[in-house]
Amino acid sequence: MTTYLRTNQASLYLDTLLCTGRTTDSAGNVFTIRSMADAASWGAPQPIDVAVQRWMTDGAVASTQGYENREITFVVKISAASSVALAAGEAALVEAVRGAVTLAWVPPEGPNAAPTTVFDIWTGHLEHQLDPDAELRFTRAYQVTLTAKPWARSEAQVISTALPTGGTPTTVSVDTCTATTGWTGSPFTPTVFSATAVRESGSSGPNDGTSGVTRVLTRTGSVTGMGTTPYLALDARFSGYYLATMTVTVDGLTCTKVATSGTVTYWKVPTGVTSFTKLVITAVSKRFFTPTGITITLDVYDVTRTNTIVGVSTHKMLNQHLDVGGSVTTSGSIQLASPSATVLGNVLAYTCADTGSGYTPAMRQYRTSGGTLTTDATMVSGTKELVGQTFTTPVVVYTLPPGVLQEGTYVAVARVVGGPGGTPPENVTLRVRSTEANGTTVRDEVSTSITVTANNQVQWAVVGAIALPGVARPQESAASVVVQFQVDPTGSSQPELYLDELFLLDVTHGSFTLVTGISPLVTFTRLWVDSPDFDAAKNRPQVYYGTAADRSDAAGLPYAQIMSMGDHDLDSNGSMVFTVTDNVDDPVITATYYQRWHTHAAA
Amino acid sequence: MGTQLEINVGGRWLSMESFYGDVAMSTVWPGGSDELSWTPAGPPTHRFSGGEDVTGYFGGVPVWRGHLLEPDPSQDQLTATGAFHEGFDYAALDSVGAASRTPNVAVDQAIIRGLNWTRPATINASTIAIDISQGPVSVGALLDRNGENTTVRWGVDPYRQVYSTADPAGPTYQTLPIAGGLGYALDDYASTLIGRYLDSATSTYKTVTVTDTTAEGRHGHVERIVDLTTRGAISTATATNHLNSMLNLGRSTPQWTQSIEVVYGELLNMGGVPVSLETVAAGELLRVHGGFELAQRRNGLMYVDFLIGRTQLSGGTLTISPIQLAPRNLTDVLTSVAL
Repeated sequence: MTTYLRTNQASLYLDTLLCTGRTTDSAGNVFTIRSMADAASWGAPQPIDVAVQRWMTDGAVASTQGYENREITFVVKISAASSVALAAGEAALVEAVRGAVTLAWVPPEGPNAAPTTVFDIWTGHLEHQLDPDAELRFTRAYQVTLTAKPWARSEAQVISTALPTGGTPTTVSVDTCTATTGWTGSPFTPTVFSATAVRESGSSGPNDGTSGVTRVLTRTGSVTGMGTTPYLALDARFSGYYLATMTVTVDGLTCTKVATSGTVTYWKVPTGVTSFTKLVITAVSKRFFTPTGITITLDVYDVTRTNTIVGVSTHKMLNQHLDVGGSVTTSGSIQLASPSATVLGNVLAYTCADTGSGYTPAMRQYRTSGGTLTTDATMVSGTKELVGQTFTTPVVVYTLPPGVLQEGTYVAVARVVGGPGGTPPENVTLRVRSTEANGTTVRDEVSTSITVTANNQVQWAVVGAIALPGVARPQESAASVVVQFQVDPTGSSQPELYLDELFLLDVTHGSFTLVTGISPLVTFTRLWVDSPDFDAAKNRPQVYYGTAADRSDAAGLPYAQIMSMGDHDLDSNGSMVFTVTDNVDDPVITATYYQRWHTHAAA
Repeated sequence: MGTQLEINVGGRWLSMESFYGDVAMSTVWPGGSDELSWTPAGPPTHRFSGGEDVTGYFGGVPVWRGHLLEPDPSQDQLTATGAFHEGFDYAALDSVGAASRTPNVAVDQAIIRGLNWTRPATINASTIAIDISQGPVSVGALLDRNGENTTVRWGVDPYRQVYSTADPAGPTYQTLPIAGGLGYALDDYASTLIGRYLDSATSTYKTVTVTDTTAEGRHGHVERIVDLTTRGAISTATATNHLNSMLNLGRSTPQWTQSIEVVYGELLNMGGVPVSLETVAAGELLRVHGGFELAQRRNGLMYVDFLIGRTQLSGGTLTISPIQLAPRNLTDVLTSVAL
């Protein structure tokens, strides 16, 4: 049965001017503004599409480069008891249109039930429509035309703080997954894989492209103590095709994904849940078409409950998941705050849509061979690797499992440290190359030269932009992706250089900001990376530093310290925020943003 | 996808200070960064006067370098010109101010006098054959002549490092066949070059002939006469080497009449993975697959490798022109004649 509202509680505000009701201005003039539904339009974001003709395919290759502004138009009628009041109404409208920043729309269900939609306005114009008969009725009509940002937004900002971290983590094993006891699966019966994982696997069957393939594993067994360890750390791996979504529920309640570290994902149980019996892990692939079935598998290697997420290697590197919401990409301000008075040091902040592939930019976790490793707590990776001087096989090899790296351009950034026994100044070339799976045939290479000017000097070097994986692969490929890092010159008389960590930052699907120390150094305990949309007045990106949470002492970071300025979009389906603060453990990461929508806010 | 370039002018990140759009970037080879332009959308916070160092960044990686041209109030666009152009603003002199014919010396002395380059590797430590009897040439002209004489091309990279290098042996990029092929022109083609030079041994004018027999077999016998007297007095061996260098640098290669336009996903590395268009610069070899024009002359070879002479990136579309692009419209013809 169609629901139909009996009362219309819609309202429209142009900044603070009510366009659907009565207003009394400061001089005491009373006028009523009504917005007419006829011919009103919220407009639409204008796509910028490019089409390039190709020989091998019919039709052109079309891609959307971005979106242009939307144009909002509607007619308002001002009514009053006198000509003076009418003119005052027009003056109020002119003032609102001229300085317009927002247009807020509350649907007819009313403000208590319907989310308010806000359009951010660039500029607006008025056009009077002369009607002699209306003049006799003390009514005047105006066409309002507003140029607005492409996407609508919610009225309230979302402030999303990452989990509490730090202290000694409490970790309790729930299931080591070496047996299927307590496990059931759908659509197949689970088995044990290699004595290390519970496996739900089987043929997808023929698919007609209308839906993905689902694999479900359900564990039944009492789990308590979630009040003190509210996070489930799941080592769950999906293979055979691209993963679309993974969801985790405890007794039917949905858990929130909060972080990723390699193949382990961290899920927060809903507030108030202290125990549960049924844990359900559901993985759904992307839609595909194949005339014959392919094998699609969900393996769960381990289930643990914990009170904190772990860092990627140390707590100086964190990989957090952010549930963003909205229906389109948004952006906002990302804050990194030191948990104490210790300054953050150099900062790398990277964001991208969370695809569930387990991708993190830090490569040490994939290292298979290289130089001598020495434990060093001052390193962001926890160890340093000798890559210059007496390194006889001067190549560090990283072997990544298939599916971790999406096809794209990756900027290689290396954090290197000069040794204590060097003879600066020393010129060094850093190289990053991609090879075939055999590790021998080089596909691509980028390099940069740095100068080590002092012993024990830390440097962040942007090595170059390289396309990865180096070789195109079908989604069924099980071949590894091999990346190598090399320093030259090498040899006993050459610079003593250590590699702390190599980062491969996917800039096709994400963006990074890198702030490093350039003398004279500005140090800070808080850093904000603001997107253009975060500052409605200036609409420009900015990097601020300070100490106070309310930004009362914040200032723009000197440009010379910004090595890369990122465009940090947040994907509505969830984003990954990877941060490195090389002087402090467990920074608190907070994102502040508006959820954005096509035309109507849902929250 | 759009064009993802951050522009830094005089150490200032433009997007933090003002609105700008319509970014267009071009590179050439030889040379490197050629032109970078953008349109400010409103009055900028900081007024530029021209001459500021300009860097175009892609994801923190410098991909373009040059300096800002003096802003023209009648234009709503700001333009920066590539760092290699600055070589033509400095004379090729030695340490005592006399005309120099040695590329390394001329570059180093210009750097001392203020040329904003560095020279990390040698270009040529010997004197080259160029006529300086009428006075010194520019550093850029000296490097051009060095390239002609020694089969190399020179450029300035986004770190402001000047270098010279031989043409790449293998392709860096590949793309799928394009509609209509690349065209084919023999306007500037020659299989045989006949050079007139002033012989240093006899102080008389002599003639020397060189032939690219491979090209002759493919594209036919065409003779062209080259005036080498601008190199001053040179030996027969030098004259022969210079003519061979000209053939190798492109005289015995046909020209193309079409450029290629690609969006992200259409230009791949040799492993078949798309490359970001902002990272593509002239000077690399591009392999275009397809059995058009040259296939018949090359025993059915189903691809063509050409050296990228020019790239132009704007609005997410990259136009790639071969180094051997024959002028086919009035503007290009007039430009080629003027050069």
